Amino acid sequence: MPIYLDDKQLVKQLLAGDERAFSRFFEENFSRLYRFALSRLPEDPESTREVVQSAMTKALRNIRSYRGESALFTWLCVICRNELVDWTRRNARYRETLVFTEDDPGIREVVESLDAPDSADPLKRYTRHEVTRLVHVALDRMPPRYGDALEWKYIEGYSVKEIAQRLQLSPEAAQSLLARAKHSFREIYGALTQPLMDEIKAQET
Amino acid sequence: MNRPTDDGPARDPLAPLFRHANARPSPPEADEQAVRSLLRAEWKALVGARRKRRLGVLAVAASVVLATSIVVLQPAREPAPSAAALATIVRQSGLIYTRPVTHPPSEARRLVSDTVSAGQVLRTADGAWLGLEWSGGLSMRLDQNSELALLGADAAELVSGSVYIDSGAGNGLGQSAPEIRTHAGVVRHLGTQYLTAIDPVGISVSVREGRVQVEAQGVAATAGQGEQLIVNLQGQVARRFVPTHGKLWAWTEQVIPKLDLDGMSAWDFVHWAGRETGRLVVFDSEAAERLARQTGLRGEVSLEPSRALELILQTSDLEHQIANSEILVRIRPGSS
Repeated sequence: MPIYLDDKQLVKQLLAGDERAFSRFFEENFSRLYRFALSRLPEDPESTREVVQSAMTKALRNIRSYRGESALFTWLCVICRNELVDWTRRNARYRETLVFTEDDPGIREVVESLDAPDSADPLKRYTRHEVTRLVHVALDRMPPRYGDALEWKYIEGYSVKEIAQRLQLSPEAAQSLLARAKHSFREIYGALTQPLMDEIKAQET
Repeated sequence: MNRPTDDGPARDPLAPLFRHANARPSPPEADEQAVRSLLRAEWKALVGARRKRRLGVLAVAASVVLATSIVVLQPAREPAPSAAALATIVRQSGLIYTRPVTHPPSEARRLVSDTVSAGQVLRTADGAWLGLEWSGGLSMRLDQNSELALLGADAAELVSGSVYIDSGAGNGLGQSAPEIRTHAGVVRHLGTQYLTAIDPVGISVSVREGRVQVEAQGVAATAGQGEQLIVNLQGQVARRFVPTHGKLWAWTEQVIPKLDLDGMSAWDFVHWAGRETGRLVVFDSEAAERLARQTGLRGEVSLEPSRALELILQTSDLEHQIANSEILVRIRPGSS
């Protein structure tokens, strides 16, 4: 089992009272967790905030139990998922919630370990909305700098030089980071889409 | 926006996929600030409890100092901060007035809430100072006879007087901080402690720690620690050296945020005093520094740093001496 040393170090600094560690913990995880919850509570930003706030508070209170056996964001997602379950129990109108592909335990495991099969081209089969959603999920599952860099490059249209400036890196380092980000994206996106592609293929035959 | 990327679609298999995607949605800014603020309080409590347990054995008792040389007015407060609050009022001295930016000055009223929000104008009367803590922990202090319009999380406009910004030790680059807009240019925070003062002919920006950028008339100038930029309305910039301690900065100590000593060591405390006064902390021996690290404190302090140093250290085996730009700390003669 891999140990997420960078995340473990962050938690250690957080417990030591390092202000920068708190900023990093919040800035790297809040937006991603918010989107994680928002996609499960569509059209309800107020409840989303409530759930995310509760999840992050519980995570902080139990931060000592984080052992680095999964990525910190994955650990937060588990807590957030439990919060979502509690929330939907309390709010009957949301009982029939959608189950997303990435909520499948098998897929989750694959995404979390990054041990994914090669990507498949989803454009022929998925609706644009689903493609967008899964792109967002994949971007949020990557290390934050990777996700941001890919979004800036492909969606916002920034040049490598501009991305380098935003990340305070040299253009060469930014190029290298983008290459790693693309590789990581392909793995995660592939893991997210492969089971559905398999299902579609099975229906065709 | 989907502008063309460096690599064409033919060479980059991801490009067609992303062409169908939009940017990821961002949480509402007010929600982000509110959650950050709540989480920070939770984290502070967690860390404080942990450090208290560690230092408890060594704690020096009776370091509780609540008196202050200035009158701290605490008018009846409205209890719960709203979700859209930009900052919390941590110190207030004298009369402070507020009004919405859209209302004329004649409609200003006494500030009575615990928090301030975007769209509010704050004005300090003669002999009044205001200390604010932003959700990210940034300290903003307003001098007497000053007026500041809070435009949002990323900007405030200094209309008159002086404002001091301190984003906290080691929180310089990358830390979100509001830019200060003035009639002579925009001051952007690249460092941690600086002061912007305004007068009819321009502004002066003094940097105590870190770096600050001023943009005026399309020209940007950067000042580092111990530098002051003087910018006139024509955008001309003059630069000079200023001390990081002394008279220029003295007023900022009037509304220094209350310091919670629980869990702090004497080492932390003297370095806090060093930052707040712009002075370097020097220990005269390794033993003195070691003792400072081992000495835990309790209570809270609402005094100017120089007075706080006197009162707090006298409860320990350490003493200090302020000499120009340094705070010299040593073991008190005769202590065991």
